[in-house]
Amino acid sequence: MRGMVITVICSFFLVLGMGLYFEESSKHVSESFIIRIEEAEAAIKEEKWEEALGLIQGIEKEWAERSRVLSMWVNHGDVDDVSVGLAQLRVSAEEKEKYHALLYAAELDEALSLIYHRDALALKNIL
Amino acid sequence: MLTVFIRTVVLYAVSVVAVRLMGKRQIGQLQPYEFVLALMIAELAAAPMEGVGTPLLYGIVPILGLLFLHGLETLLSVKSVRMRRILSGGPSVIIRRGVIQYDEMKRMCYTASDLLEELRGQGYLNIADVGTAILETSGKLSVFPHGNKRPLTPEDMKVGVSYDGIPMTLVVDGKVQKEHLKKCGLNEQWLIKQLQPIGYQEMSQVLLASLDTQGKLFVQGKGEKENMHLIQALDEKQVVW
Repeated sequence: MRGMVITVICSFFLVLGMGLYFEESSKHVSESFIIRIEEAEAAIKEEKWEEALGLIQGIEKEWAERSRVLSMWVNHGDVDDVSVGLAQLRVSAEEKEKYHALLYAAELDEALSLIYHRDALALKNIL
Repeated sequence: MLTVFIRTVVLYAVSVVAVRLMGKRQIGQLQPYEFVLALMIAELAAAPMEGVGTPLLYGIVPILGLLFLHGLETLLSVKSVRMRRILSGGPSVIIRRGVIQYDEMKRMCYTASDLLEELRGQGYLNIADVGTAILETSGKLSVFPHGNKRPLTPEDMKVGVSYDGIPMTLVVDGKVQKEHLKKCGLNEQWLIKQLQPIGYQEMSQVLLASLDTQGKLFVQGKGEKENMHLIQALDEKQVVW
């Protein structure tokens, strides 16, 4: 009986703890990368291509590291969408294509937002 | 491919541990909520096994969640009879004093054909022989014949019988079960003394040696020594377990 009680309590706190940690982590990653994409977006709008490219390459490098850990609890498809989006943004910045760059930046914002919102504790996700 | 294999191993291990922690029951004796849990665990483990894009945690966390729920339900069932009735229902008497309880059968959605099939499965060809039948919460039907139709017992014949307890396995596959020997109040020297006269010089030659509560030692050898022996190794009064 004691074993059963311990199992119940441990599994509850394990699931709760993991859930809270993953949610906070996803939120932090999502928000921090969105801010940086917006900085790159601002540079693209002003056609400061060198600055924009530098920012995008920095974001790509950090994303490559973060995504490895993020893939443990985020759908790999969602993670891949961001990776592909970053590659597209970088290429369009290299080619100085403002329209495409802004389009890809907008898509990236959405993909990054989904990483948090798709699994967030919300009624629409539960239902 | 290797990824899929490793994911399969991990999820299988998690599922086995989860089901093992659920306790020992055969499939047919599962309570309704346990049956649902078993199905769900199988489904949850299968999806991430082959879907490499799905994080492994998407299989492990739900299984942990189910384990928590199962533990909670079990605890509630143990602590409260009312909760047990709500979660598992209660047994239903389908035949009482030889009379079929039709209202109870209707309530259980149990047909006369189901009843006859179960009775036949338990060796009762004639329903008139059945005194009591109880439909358990697991779906199993427990059947008891009328008093005058049940097999004779030694008590009916006023015959005294000796205690019939659990036989202790002393040697399994050549290995001495020291804990069982201790429970019997015996030791390896005693065992060797019993085995040597019947041709076993070493324990490794013995497939199985089992001591019953009448003091009889059953010995079966392996390989060239594949013979069965039944010897009176102890007096009944010396049986202590």
